[in-house]
Amino acid sequence: MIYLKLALRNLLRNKERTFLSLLMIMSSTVGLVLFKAYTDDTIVSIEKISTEMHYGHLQIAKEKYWENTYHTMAERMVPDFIKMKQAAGTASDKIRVISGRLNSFGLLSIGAKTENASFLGFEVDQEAGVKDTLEILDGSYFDPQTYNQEIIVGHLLAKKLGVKPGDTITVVANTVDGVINAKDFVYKGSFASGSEEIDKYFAYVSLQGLQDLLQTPSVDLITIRLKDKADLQEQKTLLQHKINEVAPGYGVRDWIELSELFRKVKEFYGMQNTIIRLILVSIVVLGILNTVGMSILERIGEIGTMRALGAESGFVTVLFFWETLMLSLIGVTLGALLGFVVGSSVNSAAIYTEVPGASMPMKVSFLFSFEVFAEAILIIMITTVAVSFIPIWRALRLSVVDALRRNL
Amino acid sequence: MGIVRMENVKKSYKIGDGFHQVLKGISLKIAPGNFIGLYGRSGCGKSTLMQLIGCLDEVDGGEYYLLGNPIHTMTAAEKTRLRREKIGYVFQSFNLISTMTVRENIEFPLLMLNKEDGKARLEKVRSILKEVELEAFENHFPDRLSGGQRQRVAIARALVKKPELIIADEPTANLDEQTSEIIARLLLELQEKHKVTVVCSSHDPMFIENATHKISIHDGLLVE
Repeated sequence: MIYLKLALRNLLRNKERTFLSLLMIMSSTVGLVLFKAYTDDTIVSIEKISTEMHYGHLQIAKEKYWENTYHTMAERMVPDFIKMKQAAGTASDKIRVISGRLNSFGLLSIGAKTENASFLGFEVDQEAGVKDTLEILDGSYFDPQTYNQEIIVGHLLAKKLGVKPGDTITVVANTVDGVINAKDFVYKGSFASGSEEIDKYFAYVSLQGLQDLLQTPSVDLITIRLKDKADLQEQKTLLQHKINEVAPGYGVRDWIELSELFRKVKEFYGMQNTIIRLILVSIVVLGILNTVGMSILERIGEIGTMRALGAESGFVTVLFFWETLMLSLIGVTLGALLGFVVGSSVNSAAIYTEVPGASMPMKVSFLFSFEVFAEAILIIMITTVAVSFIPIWRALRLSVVDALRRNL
Repeated sequence: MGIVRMENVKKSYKIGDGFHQVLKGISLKIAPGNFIGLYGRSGCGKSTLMQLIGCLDEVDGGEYYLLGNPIHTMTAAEKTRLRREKIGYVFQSFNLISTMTVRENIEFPLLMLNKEDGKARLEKVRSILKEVELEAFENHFPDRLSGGQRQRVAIARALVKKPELIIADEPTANLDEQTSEIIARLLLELQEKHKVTVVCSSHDPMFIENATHKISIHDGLLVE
């Protein structure tokens, strides 16, 4: 109790210095909170797009599918699609969705305009997550009743074609057997995925729609979404084992292996986070050394008196420890609150920024989590308290007589 | 047995590249219950001798025994314990802790001893506050007190744990003449009442006149 009482009084003794120390601790905490919340949001967004739209959590396909070394479409097809889907479905109760996909290249044609495109056929009713990750800019998403006759295309591709919702687009592609085939689709709308590459060249149709065009009942890929992403590696091993039993020659890949973008972004932000942390921690180290150092220097006489009266070094250390702990606790609490308020305000204000490689400005957004606050609070508090031991240790190295002389 | 026994104690300080010998071989014995007046000119070694007697500094040579304990061989931690348990201090500049109230300043030595609960400590603090006539100032901070009141608090702080020895280093040097007299009388009265040994360095004639024993120091040596 005496420690807390004295710590509080000492903090109030020099209000200006305490305010400056608080300001420094607060701003460093705000910096850590906002930077991590921003990078976490970006990483989670990429993760969501990767798992819901592009890859699923896990993919099953022929071993060489991901190496792109098959010469014909027929080589990469999964003829036992239904059997394998059932095998995967019974392998575990931790799977949320199992869905077949079909990929192809072809031409999109409307009137005199023709553009080449990459097509993805997917089970519209199964892969509901795709709808949430695509931003529909013009028209609407697939109709639940008529999606087998519909197509949605990237907004940059739609612009090149000059299509309007309701227009008929003719899609021309090679069938699995190598024969040219064509099918009409109703243009439902355009989407923005965030990736310029996808928005320029991609078109989405239903699996049935693309199977009709390619004249095949098969798929070339099975995607799996898990109930909990934490089960990724366990489920991957389990599925690989099960698939080997049912149909040898097939492989299982997880989305992290497949998404180079995710890995690079995560690595890049990880490095940036480390640099930002180092800069902010350095500011705290220098600031605390200065302010706590000054505070201790002013009180060396008092420290000498306490030691003359029989106080152990430990008592003096704990006294200053509580003072710094209280200072940092107030600072990080206010900093975390301020960071949350600033981040939430930016989230509400819907501020957009240009990002290299993105097809359109991206929303600046912060994702707050327990981890974001815990990490910032721990880093700043541990740094503050640990650094304050340096001036305390230096003060305690003085002899009692030398310390007492500072009272004069 | 003497409370203090020094045999040929020497003490030097480093000044620049050389050493200045402040105490050149002090030998003395102090019996319990006395009021010792230590006097001498400025720079003669009074304060150094007070610091050594009070176990605040280390002797360079000779032997020093306090209550039979060989101070010259003791570690810093052992001396801290001895100061905590056996010695009270009254400093020239009062040396009160500015963030503690009068009560907390006086309670501090008892808190360091850690032998009694809060209630017992408070009883002792209030009792000694009455003796120094500062009951009304229990919750005041030192910056609200006059110089004389601060030194009363310091005397109360020195006495509260009932030490064997009190070191009073020029206790009236920072006070005006009238206040000095009051403080000197208070210290002499309380020494008499509590039967505690006091070693007091001072130029104040009241201390010198009323001391049971007088020690004069000149150029680092005791003068008979």
